[in-house]
Amino acid sequence: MIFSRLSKNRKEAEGLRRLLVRTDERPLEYAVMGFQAACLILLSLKDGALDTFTLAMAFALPIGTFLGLKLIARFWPVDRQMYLLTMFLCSLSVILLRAVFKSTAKAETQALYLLPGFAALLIGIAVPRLFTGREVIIKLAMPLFAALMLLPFGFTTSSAARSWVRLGSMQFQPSELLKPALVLVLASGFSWERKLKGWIAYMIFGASLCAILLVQRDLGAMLLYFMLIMAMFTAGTGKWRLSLLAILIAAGLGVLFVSVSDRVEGFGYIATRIDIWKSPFSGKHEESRQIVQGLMSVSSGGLFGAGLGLSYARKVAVVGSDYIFAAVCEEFGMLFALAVILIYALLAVLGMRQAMNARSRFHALLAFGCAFEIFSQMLLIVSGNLNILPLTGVTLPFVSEGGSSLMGSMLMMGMMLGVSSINAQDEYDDLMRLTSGRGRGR
Amino acid sequence: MSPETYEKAAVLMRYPLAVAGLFIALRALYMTVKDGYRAGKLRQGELRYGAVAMLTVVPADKRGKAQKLPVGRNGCIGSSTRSDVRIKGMGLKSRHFDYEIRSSQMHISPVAADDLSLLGKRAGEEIRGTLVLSPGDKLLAGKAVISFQMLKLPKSSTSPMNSKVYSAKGKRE
Amino acid sequence: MKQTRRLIRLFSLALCAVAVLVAVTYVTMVRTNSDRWLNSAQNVRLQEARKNTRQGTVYDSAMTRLAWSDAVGERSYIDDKSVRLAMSHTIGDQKGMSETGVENRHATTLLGLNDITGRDKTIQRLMGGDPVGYDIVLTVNAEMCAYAASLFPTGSRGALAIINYKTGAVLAKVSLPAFDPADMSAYVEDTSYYDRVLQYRYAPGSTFKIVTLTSALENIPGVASKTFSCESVWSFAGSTIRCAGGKAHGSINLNKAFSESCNVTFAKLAYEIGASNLKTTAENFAFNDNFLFEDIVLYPSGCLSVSQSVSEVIQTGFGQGTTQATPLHMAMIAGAIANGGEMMEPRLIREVRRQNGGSVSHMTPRLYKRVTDADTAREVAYYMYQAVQSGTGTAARISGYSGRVCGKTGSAETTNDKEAATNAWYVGFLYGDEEHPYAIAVIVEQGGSGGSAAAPIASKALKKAIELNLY
Repeated sequence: MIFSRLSKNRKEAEGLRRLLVRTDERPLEYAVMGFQAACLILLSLKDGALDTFTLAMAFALPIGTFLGLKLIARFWPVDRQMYLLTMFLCSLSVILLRAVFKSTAKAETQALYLLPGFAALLIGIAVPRLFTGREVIIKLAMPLFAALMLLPFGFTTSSAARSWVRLGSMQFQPSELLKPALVLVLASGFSWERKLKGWIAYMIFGASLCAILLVQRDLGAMLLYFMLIMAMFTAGTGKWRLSLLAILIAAGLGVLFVSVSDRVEGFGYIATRIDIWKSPFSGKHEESRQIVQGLMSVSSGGLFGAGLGLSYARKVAVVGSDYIFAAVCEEFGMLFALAVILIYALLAVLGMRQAMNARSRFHALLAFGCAFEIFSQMLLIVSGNLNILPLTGVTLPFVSEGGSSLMGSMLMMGMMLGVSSINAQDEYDDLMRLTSGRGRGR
Repeated sequence: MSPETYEKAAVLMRYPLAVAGLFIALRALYMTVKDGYRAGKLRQGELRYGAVAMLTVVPADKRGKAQKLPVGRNGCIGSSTRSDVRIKGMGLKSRHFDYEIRSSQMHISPVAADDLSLLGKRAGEEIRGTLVLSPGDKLLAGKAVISFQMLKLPKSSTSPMNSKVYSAKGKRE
Repeated sequence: MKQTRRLIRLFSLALCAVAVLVAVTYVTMVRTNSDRWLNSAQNVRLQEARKNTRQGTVYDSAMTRLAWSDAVGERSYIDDKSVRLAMSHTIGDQKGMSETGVENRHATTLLGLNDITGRDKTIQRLMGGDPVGYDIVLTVNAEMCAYAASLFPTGSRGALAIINYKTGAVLAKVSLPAFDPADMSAYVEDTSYYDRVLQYRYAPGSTFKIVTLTSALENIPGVASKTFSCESVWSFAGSTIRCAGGKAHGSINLNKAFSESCNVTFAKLAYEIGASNLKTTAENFAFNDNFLFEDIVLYPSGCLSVSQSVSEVIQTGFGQGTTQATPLHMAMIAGAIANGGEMMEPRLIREVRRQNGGSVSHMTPRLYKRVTDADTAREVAYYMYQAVQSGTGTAARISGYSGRVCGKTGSAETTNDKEAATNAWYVGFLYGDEEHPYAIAVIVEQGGSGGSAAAPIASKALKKAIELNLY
């Protein structure tokens, strides 16, 4: 072992071994696989006759998780824990969609989306390995980005607060898909530009994206984009006083806007939402039905849940994407829901740790941006479900149904895994250099 | 399977599934904490084994000792602890300039300085935007003359490090 | 680079803190609110559960069966119609008409849906058979309620509440007019489904002088020895204050003013105390509180919350103006004075049990708030004792009872019409009786004078309560 080369002293070698060897991920891996199999086998018996698709998924998902890990790790030394937690959340999505709804359609669609999702993960891993942040192509991405964001204007938008593009039978949401690209662009901009005038271009870019989202009336996405831009600005430039000032100004403008929003055309729903948020059970508005059912669903789970497939979460409007956390609470219970919150926090912490270990500022900001984005999305949606904040129409990453959301999240997770693989590689190379031919020290 | 039997099974399975979920989260927490300790220790030692070049800093008035500092692949040079490479008492601002070492060259991006100038062979060259130094070039920053040499590092046995694509089959220990 | 790392580390710490915050908020929110939310009529789970679960039994405090289900979807009630009517608002109904009844407010318990650990649900599913809910044992006594309802003149509207002021348990509550839960198709008056004890806010009238008195004792030094003068009418700040029946009380001290219920004196007192102090005292007595009790629905009472003008303040002094209180709240106030200044949380449910007998939860008395210090409470209790001994409340004396009966009558005006009948109030307690720590509030709508309409009802009701040894 290399440790004996590092030190003749056995005790030191043992200490170094303990220090350098990562914890064994296999218990986690087997637990995730077991969970997937158990849930899906149970669910395949839900409707009397055996549901072959669900039963097939009961084997396909764990095997896919297992092989996926082997495949990825063969080529890139990624952080296996992050991968396993992500696969856990993705399969939770299929499990919940199967359990909540009577028909298997949503679960099947989501399961099929996992394949391109995995491909997106691989693409994401490749990105930080290919880019160092100074590529002109990243700068050229900005106008392309803006153009794609404007797409929904060309197509009819269905509900008041979504920015969808419908192509035939498929529909996707550009703002979700382009989030990883935003992180990439901002990471490159804030890592290499060291002066204010360099940053201005990126800030204007960010502001215009927020403006587009505002006009598209997707306030949830706008809030997320804004938070991401401010976070990356702060981390990238170090000018936290400036960003604090900007946030306060934006907050002030936001409050102002909200108070006059009922007079602006098309934004009347903001006042309604705030009203509903303050007193959901007053029954004044028709729309409060959703949060009322959602809160009842959240409270109905007890500690251990109602039992897979036995919940009434389907009575909550849009439970597949907006209120999926309520479904988690009712199907699996409060303990499990707290575990899910913990898992998201861990994913973010691990991502930020990779950012701290990165050797170049670009990779650091890339990983940081992705981690921050995934966590803040979870924060907004869980707070919305629990009525801590008004509902904003964002999705829970990996767990909510929806192709665009899944692709966007998988790309970001991929980028974090990519950075982790570079870090692991650098560490290994440095250790090798340290020990071959030179013994200890340099 | 009748609905009653399914109900029995689902109601019973609540407990193992909740335990499984908790186990997954707590095990992940345990792994994060343990590996976090490891990561912190490695970060501390990073400069020891992650150095790629050696910086030589000489006071401009030739009085005082020359310092030799190992430096990593990119960072910030200045006089305060906020910078990655700290050079005290030579008239440098707290964070004077950023550098990055790529393909045996040092790329300098000034952060707070407009008093960088080149000496020696390249003296008198105008500095616009990013400055590119080769090993041996002398840079005057504040009252310090800075130059660098690449460290001769032994080739690592398993991965040829290509600056663009890391195509290694690097295994973790 | 170092700086970037430092900032990232800061972000990750902030992130952990936020995650913890969200988790804690989640848990507290569910713990405090889930019971109330899940019992709302919009909860589909209740409707579904009624189709396949046998609802639990409702017992009164003497373990008399009031309502039970022999089979899924059936509901039977106690044979005795007078009990059914008297306890209708407490029991509730299957149609969701009563908001406060146990069958509505605690439907989740009766259907077994509030099983947090899932233990009972699991056991029941595994053993097969119809799922059953939990049984509820009330603190209320059926015989007492039926008797209390009979004390009101026929066709009258009103409310009565008796509580145990040491534990907060509600021993009896009656609201008239009532409905029959066993016969929901029968015609009843419009307001029959409202629980006047818990949901109706009345002007307390002179019974509010208890609060004013407390406020005066706390805020005006030496008020107990001051002399006041009452000439039957007092015009001030645009209002005209009159004493009941045009009586002029002349030169009196505080004790006499309270016993004789002199409006003029208390109006002047309220003016001297001032809006802010009076409001503070009222809020110490739980006025303007948004009651969110575990067992019981209680609508909030209001005092000086809308206007604090001078004329409002002086009218509040004797419980008119915009002052409003529920009968249960008035009983709680009386109980707080009796209990050394400690107002206990009102409880309706003594025990929740499983059908096969095991106890799921047992009532533990909880202090709601401290309304005043023990010395002031004792002093006010003394004044209330004088009011029954020699003042307007002499009809509240209980024959054959040797303990101290304390109380305050009230005749609350409901309109500006001088000819209209006032609401008759009586609020009181038995002081220092360890075995019978009862506080009572009675209101007879348009019953006239509190001393002649409400106090006798209270006297007989308390006598029965002592006889039944309610606890």
